[in-house]
Amino acid sequence: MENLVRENLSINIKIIDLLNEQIKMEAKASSMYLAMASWCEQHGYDHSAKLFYDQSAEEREHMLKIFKFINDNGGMAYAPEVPKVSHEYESILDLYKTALHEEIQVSKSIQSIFLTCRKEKDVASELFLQWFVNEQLEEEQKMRHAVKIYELHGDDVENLYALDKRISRG
Amino acid sequence: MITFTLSSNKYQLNFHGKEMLLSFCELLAFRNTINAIDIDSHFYNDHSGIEIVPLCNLKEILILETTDVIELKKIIHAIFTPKEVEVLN
Repeated sequence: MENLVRENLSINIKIIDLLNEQIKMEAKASSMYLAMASWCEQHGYDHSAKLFYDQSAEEREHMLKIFKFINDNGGMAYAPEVPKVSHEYESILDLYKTALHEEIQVSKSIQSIFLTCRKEKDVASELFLQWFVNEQLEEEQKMRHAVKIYELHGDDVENLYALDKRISRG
Repeated sequence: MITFTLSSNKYQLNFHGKEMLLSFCELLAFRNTINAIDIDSHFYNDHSGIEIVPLCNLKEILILETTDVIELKKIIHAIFTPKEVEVLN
């Protein structure tokens, strides 16, 4: 019976379960960034709004990438239920700190699956996840950069909108 | 009694005398449904102890008691647990 499972599945079933959990996480992040884009637009942070619209689309792309990987390798990907996300933030700094926290959680989760792949000797999934490990470094850095800028220069209200422009330049 | 056997590349589920053939894809969906059942909740006072589970793309429906759920969880886990020698093959 086990051989037939192996004949149908190119990747480890435990990894498929974890990747399905990751799909939920990416979907939640995508929704959260959409809420952040909305908050930014309402408060006049147009450049940050653009950044979060793009981030939201990117998280959805990540989700679909994992989704396809599962289905292409004999597993079954599950469309995620998206949990409720917050639309309220104390300030633009609070918003970016929340985004950074989210990215760190996603990185931890990806790395944890990566290490499970290694433990389960699922080489194909490990190689697939390598791209995500690198991508997360970039995502974290993007948010960390914004947090630093607002922490250093964000006390002056007049300054906040000038900083918004600066963030879009990366 | 619940058993799973192989029958010409399909999985034959015998559920207390009722026999059903599942493709691999249907087995995966069934596994997901069984794994999602919170067995602890069966022991709360307000739980009926019954689960109604569709399978084979809604062609069949199983009515499971707590003991059936526990047994199915064990069987399905065993089906999907690779033996050490197969991990790298």
